[in-house]
Amino acid sequence: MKLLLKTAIYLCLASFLMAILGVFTLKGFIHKSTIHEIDELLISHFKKVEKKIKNTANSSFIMGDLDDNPYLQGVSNTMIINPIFSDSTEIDLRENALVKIRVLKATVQSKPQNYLVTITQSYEEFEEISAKLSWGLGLYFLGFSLLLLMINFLIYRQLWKPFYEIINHLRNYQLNKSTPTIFKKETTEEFNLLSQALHQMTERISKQFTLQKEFTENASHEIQTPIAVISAELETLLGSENLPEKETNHIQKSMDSLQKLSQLNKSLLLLTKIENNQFSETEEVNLSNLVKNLLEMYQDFAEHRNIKISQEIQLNQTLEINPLLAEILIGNLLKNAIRYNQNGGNIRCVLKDKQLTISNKGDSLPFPETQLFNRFIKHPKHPEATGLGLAIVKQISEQYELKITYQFDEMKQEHTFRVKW
Amino acid sequence: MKILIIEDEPSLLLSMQQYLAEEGYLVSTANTFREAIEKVNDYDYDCLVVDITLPDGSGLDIIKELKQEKTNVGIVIVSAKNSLDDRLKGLDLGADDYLTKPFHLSELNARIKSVLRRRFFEGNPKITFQDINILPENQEVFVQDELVELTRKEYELLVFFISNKNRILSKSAIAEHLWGDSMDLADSHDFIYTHIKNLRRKLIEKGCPDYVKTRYGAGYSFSEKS
Repeated sequence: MKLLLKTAIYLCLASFLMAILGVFTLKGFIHKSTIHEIDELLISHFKKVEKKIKNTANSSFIMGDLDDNPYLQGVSNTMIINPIFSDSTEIDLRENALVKIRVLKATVQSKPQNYLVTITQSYEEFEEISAKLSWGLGLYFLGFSLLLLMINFLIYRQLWKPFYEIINHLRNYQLNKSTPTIFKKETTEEFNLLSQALHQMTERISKQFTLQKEFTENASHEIQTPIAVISAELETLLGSENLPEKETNHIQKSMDSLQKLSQLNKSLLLLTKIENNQFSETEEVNLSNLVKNLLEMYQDFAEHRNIKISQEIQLNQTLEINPLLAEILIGNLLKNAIRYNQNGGNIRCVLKDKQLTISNKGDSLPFPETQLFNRFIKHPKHPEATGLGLAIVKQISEQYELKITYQFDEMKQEHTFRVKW
Repeated sequence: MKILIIEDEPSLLLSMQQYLAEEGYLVSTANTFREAIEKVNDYDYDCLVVDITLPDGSGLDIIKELKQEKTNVGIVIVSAKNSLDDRLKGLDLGADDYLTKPFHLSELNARIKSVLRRRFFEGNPKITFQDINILPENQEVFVQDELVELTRKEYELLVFFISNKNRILSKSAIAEHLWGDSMDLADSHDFIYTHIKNLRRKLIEKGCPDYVKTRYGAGYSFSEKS
């Protein structure tokens, strides 16, 4: 849910509650004030009546009011009531409904008898005004809140534009391409802070990445140099005259192992480099030509083991990829197809419709299929392999989001690798 | 022929120096950038073997400086970095070849010979060994003026053999020279043997003595000595 919608919901809820609360508070307040004013009115009315009674000898004259308001009632001299207010209702003849009234009862001392005076005053009209006013104000408040929300909605896009620009920038950020992470100066302080922090962060990461890159390269360099020394020394030793056959054998074995070590080091470095995205330059690679060239290159090896290669290659199949990685990817698959083939077996290489299929005869896998692309998984019959070939293939496929699948046909004893893009 | 080897690893430097001296070159060495610059400025060399990573500078800068003076010196870069960037940069600056460490001394020797051939025998580079004549421009091989039909690999093998004549070439050195990065496929030793056998047969058919000697466990050598 968008931040805007979330705030809008909370604001709506809050203003609704505030409006309801406001309506009732206001109503209560007006009611209280009304009663107060009415009571004052009644008292002053009562004072007038009291004055009249005291000034008039004959009370019967006073009692002639048509609507019985004030209503006078003679009581005994001993009865004295201080003014009492009470609420009551009466039928309003115009509206033909019960309306609220305020009643004041009090006695006026006089001779020969006291008078109980009852004065009533309807305040229904005031209540009606109060209700209208309160609800009106409540609605106005709600309307105002809605207006604010709408303004917020309208300026949201404009206000948050820098934010989305930063997000977009980050999304396109590639560590290895050192895209500049300098953001535009904004008028909003928070966004400036954010872009500043991001700028610093990417700078740090970039620096770290460069260090890491250098370290991996340097480590490989450092390892390759002693290997080069040993290799040169062994070669010199091998060249010396009159070396007994037994010693020669030992030297040869050491050289083979050294070769393997160097190969392993190179492969690991390659894997790290792919992982670190250090082969980021891509171009439109003509895979048709590449596959043809590689097949030609491996022809000698296949022929030596009487492996027949059949190929079906559609012209100009291309893929946007780093050319070196393309060569390694396809090369590794083809090399595997030769290495793990049976003598006199065959390889079928089909490249068409954005799909490369390489099948070869061979015994079933000596390990679970799920481990096929793992690092250092080797066929027990081929201890000389690095066990990294398919791991590199997988890494490259992931890098370019190629779909690679493996299948083994039990009937035909045939392995099939399929790369789709 | 004078060669300067610029390499900071002393034992590797020594091995290279010995190997190349045995080939009959006058070999000088430098193990720092400064020493290399001094030697390059003071003397003329026919070929330079340059390590890119030196403790006090980059081998690429030495090549840059040399190429500004438009000298006709051949340059072979040796580097532990197998990075395409460095390779392209080096070749762009005017280096003739690029070797990645570790390398076989025989390979270095063959590369230097090829560079010198291209630089100093322009128009008529010819490789001769006893009664064998090779014209590298057309990749043609003659035995006593008679053309020998060789496959590309057999041709490369012969040139490699002659470049390192009288030396023992290990199978892995041969495999790497012929198949480069895909040499790991050549792990079966009889694979290389097949190619050697074919070359040997074709040469003998044309009346050559059997120059290819087998040193069991070690490899092969190409030698007129029996």
